Amino acid sequence: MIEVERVSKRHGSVTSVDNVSFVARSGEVTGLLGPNGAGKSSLMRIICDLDHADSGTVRVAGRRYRDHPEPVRVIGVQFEGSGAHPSRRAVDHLRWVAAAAGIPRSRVDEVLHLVDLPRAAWRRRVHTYSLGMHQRLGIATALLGNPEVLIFDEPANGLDPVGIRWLRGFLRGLADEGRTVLLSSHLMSETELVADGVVLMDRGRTIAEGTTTSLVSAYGSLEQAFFAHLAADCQRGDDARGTVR
Amino acid sequence: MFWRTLHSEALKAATQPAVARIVVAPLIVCAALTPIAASQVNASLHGAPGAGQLIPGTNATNVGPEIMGLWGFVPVVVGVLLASSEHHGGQWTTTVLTTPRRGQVVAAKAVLCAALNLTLATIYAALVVIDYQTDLGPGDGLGELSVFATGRAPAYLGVLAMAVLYWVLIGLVSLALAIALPSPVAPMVLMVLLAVTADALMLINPVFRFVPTIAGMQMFAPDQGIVLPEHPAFAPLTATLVVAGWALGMTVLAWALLTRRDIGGRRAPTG
Repeated sequence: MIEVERVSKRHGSVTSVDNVSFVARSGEVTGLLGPNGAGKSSLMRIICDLDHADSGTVRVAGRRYRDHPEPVRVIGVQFEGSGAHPSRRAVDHLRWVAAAAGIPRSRVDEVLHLVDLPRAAWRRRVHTYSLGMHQRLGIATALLGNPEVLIFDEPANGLDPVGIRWLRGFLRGLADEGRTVLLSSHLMSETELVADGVVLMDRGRTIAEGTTTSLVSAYGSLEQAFFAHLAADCQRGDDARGTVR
Repeated sequence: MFWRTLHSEALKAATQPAVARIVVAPLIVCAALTPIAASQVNASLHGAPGAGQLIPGTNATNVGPEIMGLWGFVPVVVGVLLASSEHHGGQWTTTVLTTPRRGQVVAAKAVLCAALNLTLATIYAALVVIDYQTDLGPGDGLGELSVFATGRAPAYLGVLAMAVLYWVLIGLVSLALAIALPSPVAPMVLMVLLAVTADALMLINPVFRFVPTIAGMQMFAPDQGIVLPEHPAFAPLTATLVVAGWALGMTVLAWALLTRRDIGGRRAPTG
């Protein structure tokens, strides 16, 4: 479970995250939705202790990220594609992460199989990878510790239609195993197909939160729900928030 | 846990082609060029008037170590590369996600950097001994010049040990600088500029003798560079303390900055 409570963060004069609270539950896929610049990535970075929040608290599997003695075994995270040095081979990238977390080398082959990265690519330098292959390597890195919580930042970026369908089934499967899956995306129609719950964000704020079913039944689609809440939010002013459950 | 981090840092370094190149290439170049430099110096020694005197203050006991200062860019590049490679491909993100205790990452990188530079410097010091001293046979009327024949070997090896220590310390300064500055290029440019402009800096203000690349040379090659009469060169021990102070201070600064830094905070939020 991921618990985010009243988190705020400013980057200079810009408020990237503004008093955001939500809970991502075990066994569910929670989508963090919003346009580019909505604050999704900033929030995810705060959740993982990469960025420091100005205020608020975050607990992942009951603790702050940095308080987990072996975080890779509890929380899997994918940011920025693969997160691998461009001149390193995929297997070497996964091996150093495994070494840092005390995970056996054999797990490297397992996760590369899990994400369907072609075997021929395992020993290729990462700079030769397509965007989709970067995403798969990033997901493999997240899965290395077989964690109970998974956080993916725009995982569908760069994937072709076949890859997107694979990802959908893959994320669903992870949640069905009882894991907590949090993903950020600006692809609302895609997220609608996989997420159990969503948090709609704009300009750093939560403008709506609820189950996918309730939002879709109320507005027809997540996209319609987003724009309806965005319009309402603009009307109400900066302090307004919408909640549909 | 620290050993795991150290192991992972070693794996990172071993599997990054640039690090392998920077470790192997200078050794090959040094191995090729040092004999040439040595033969020139040795020829000068044999041809010089007086008992083995090339210039005042220079004799067979201190030829060789100064070239380790000339090759001092090697530990700088090793240090910078171990840290700056993190700036590519979002690797800092993966590193900090894997080891959220960022001080542990700094410590592991420092140990690895010191070990790598210690190894490189020791190999290179051995090359210096072989190339410079084994060639110093009896000259034209000068008698035996080699430190091994004149009983000065312990002193000579002591000077070389200081040169090795200089490589280790300057590598740590470079590493810390590369962690502190979130840029792969800036630390390298800064360290090279400091080395290249060392003499000019000394003329501007004697306070620049505390710059690590300048003070560091005084650890093992006191004849090198400009020595201002009113500000005599540091004694080797003092110079060592100055450079060690830089290494320690910069490492603490790097740790403090990395701990407080937002790893994704430099870029504009994208989503």
